Amino acid sequence: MSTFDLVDVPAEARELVVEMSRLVGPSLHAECGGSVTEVVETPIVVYIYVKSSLLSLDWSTDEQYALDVQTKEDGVQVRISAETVYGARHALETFTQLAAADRPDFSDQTQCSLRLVSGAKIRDHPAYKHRGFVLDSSRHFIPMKDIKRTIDGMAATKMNVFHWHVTDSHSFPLESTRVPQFTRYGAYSPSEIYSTEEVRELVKYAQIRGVRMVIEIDSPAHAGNGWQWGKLNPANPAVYRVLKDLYRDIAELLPKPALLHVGGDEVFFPCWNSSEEITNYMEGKGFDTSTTDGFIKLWGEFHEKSLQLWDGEAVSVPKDIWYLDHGFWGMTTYSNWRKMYAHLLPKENGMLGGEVAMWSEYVDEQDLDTRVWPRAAAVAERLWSDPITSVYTAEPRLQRMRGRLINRGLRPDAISPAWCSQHDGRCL
Amino acid sequence: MKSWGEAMSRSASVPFSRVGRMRRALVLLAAAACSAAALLYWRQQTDDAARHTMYSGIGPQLSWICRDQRCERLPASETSVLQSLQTCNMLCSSTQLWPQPTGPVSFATTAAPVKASSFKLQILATPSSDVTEHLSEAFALMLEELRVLESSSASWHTNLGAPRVVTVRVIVNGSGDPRMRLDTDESYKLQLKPEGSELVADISAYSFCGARHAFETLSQIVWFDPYAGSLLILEAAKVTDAPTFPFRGLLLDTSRNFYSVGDITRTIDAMASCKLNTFHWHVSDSQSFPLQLESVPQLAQYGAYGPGAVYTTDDIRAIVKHAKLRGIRVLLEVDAPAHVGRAWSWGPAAGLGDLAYCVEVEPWNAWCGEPPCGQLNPRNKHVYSLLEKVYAEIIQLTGVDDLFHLGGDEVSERCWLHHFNDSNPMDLWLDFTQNALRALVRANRGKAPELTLLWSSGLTRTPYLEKLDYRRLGVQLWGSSRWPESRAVLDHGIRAVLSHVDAWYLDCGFGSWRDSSDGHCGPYRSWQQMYEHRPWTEENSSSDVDSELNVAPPSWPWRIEGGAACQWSEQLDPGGLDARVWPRSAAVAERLWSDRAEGAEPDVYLRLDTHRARLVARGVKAAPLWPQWCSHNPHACL
Repeated sequence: MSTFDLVDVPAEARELVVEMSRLVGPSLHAECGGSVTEVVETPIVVYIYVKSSLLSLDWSTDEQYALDVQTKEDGVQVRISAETVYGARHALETFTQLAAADRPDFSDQTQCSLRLVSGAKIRDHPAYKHRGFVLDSSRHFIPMKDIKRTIDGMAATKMNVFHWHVTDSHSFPLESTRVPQFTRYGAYSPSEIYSTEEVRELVKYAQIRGVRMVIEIDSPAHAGNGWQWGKLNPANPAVYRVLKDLYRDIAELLPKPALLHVGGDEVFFPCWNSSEEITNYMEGKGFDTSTTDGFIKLWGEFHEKSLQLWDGEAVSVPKDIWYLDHGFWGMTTYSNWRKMYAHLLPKENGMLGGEVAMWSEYVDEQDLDTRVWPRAAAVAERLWSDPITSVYTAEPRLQRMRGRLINRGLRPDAISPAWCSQHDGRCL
Repeated sequence: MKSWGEAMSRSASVPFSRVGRMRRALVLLAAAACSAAALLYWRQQTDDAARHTMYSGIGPQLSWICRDQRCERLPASETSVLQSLQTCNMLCSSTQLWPQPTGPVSFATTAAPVKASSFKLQILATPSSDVTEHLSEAFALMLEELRVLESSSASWHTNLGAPRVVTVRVIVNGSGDPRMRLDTDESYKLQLKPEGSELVADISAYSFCGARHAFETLSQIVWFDPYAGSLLILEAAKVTDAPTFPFRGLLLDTSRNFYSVGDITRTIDAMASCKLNTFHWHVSDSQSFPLQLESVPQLAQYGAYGPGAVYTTDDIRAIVKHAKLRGIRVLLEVDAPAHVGRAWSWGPAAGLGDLAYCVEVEPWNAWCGEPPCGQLNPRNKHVYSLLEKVYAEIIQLTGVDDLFHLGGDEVSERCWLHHFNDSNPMDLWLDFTQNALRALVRANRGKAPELTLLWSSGLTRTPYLEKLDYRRLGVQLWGSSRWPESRAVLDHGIRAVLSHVDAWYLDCGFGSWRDSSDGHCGPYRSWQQMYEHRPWTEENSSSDVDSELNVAPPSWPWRIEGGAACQWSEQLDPGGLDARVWPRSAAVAERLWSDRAEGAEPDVYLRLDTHRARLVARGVKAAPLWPQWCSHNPHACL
């Protein structure tokens, strides 16, 4: 139906842009439940311009884009121009959202055709550079297919950081080829492991969707499952050799510069604020720091990039509002999408963005989608647009976004009776 | 180390443990027997063992050992006994049945390998061919579930020897009517024992429904062992069981959001797994009317969300049959006179006058409780003849003629006042209800159903409470168990079904779906709260309620038929259905079936965790109770 013309894309970026553009067709077809029965001959040509050859995705990545749709006599011209491939990807995502099935919801028709806006001019860029989602796969193992589906939802809402809290004291499902004991002793079962190959594939999967992987593993002070194959004695230099191997494995999985989040745990985090503190900490505990040089050096590499993020308030993760597990245990309170959407980030210099978090004590693959979506989409809009308009004006669009997520195979919760989505503005 | 063969050959002297009242004491015996032998595996290498190359040639890394009535997880290298979590759970401590039987229970602590195909049915006595057919079909359903379980992915395979043949012999001595009726005796006895190289399960019941409950119990002492790659069954069992309350329901609202037939039948499957017996189908409301009746097709035509969001009469019949084979009645509720909408808007065009008033009137909050508004016209006689047709078709489709639900809460007095300023709206409501009851009697061939339910409302409060004839009427109490009017209905000796909002509303806790109002019925009700709700224990307490009302407590004994968990769908549709409803409704199911005095004690966590896994294996996306680590380490989490 549509042709993609990579008019001006640097050679280094072409392969990635091709893969990104391959996602457009399925997203459009999904609007018709995967089967478009009425196909029109109107040619659609998408011209893509990308300036930079950089493929890295980090806080310095320019994600802005321009998107123009024009209907001419001989067909539809779509022009996308962006600084980076990731800007172009966001433009393609927006493009898919300019089309819809002409078949209403709850129809019994089998015919379905797509309609595209006849003209559009969009200039867009994110308000925040860090638009993250935390998934905990330690309390419950979350299968790879469910993680990928979650990343599909992030791509649809232009979130860009998948912060993977992959291990905790509960389990250690992340395979380390250098230290296989971690999963052998720490995984719930051999079928509940993320193999190196799968993680590498996932990193690629996310990249094509404009999402960067941040892998978090727990600090060595936090002994749990995965560590019990050797007595975990922090004074034992072997611990640091093991950590070095583990971090090296993870670093090899992630694109450079790797972002490894080492133990964001509330209790232990302060201990890891700086290399100096680690050293002091270890000396204070009577460790022989001389045998841990290798580890510290390696750790320092990550430190440079990662700790400036996790230290302080640079990325906002408001516990009472953007924790998706709240409201189901203890004295916590559920935040619905309205509350999550209405939350404004603190006005501070260097505020990179925020994260919405899915801790998995009470969630597994069975109910993941329904806990996460569409609430994470509300947060995504806060982080991308930071709108000054109200929750009320967002509701019809969120209803539509929810429908789009369902079309793409997610299982978001309902936010109202369907009557309200059929009658905009009547359910105030 | 002992081999599997040695463990299996002990069937001649099967150790038994008793559960129920003597559970605690005797369970220790089971624990001892368990650690003595039970299930041992050779640690062996197999080529197809693991999907990760790192693991090929390596056996299970974890083993579970029963200690102090809990399964303890150990690295396989630290124990000579290699036992899966599932098998440890089944053989350690309590039964893993849900709901817990009310009569005496004894179980073997040894297991035997079986296959779905090794179960055979023999019907030794049956009161009717109808019951015979239902038994055969229900048995086939049980085997289908076992087949699904059998195809679970196994990490390892152990040769346990030939699977045992299980002959299931059934005697039904009682009702020839397979339907779930108000007077159905659901009790059953199940005895499983080895006979020669085979196993024989003897089931006796007074009804088809009782016998299918026995099948359900039998299926719950079969499990899949991932280390063996095989189904196992307890080698011997004896269960005597009967429900505490006759009405055990789950309400699903298919009006606020639409659910497919598949969503509904899956929900009914989950209900059957915990012996709930009433699918209370709140099919219509002001938002939509998806019920496509042949007698009044206009209702769905005008009221459905779209032509793809209707239940045809074929759909209803399929759902009713699906439920009936699982011992479940379908209680189809078309709410009236409030909670109606556009479905009733075609009257003027058809020459019938206004069938409803205030339909989708604005601003809604001046006229009703939630958008959109709508209320039937109590003075239009066509309303009652249409209701009669609706009721007759519901009775014909569901085959339920001893129980009916008229709906009936949240009438807007203002809406009726606006149109009938000469009358007290409460009197109009009373008239409406009496006319609707007459229409129901006509629809049911001149006979009032044994029990017709109304929602608790202003009409079930003094002075209107006294004006209705409650010989064949009952009240479904949705108000808080703390409200005086909830208790007043019980104190009047009126038959009641409990759906207290403070305990059994599954929809609470998700905030408001409207911009302008506060949270919807307060916080989320945990499964523990739902489980521990036992308002009937307060029958004889001199509560504050009575002193507030300043009346002497009436001397009528309470008549609680049972209860129903309620899933209203303002903030739910198919995507979140299973996880919202399960496993919490299972907690209500055990409360209504077993009504054990204990609250959510450790034993309950363990059994519910097992039942949750059972639901997931049966394709129900039930939410987890706790971290997976706790399922692996129950002794550490409880």
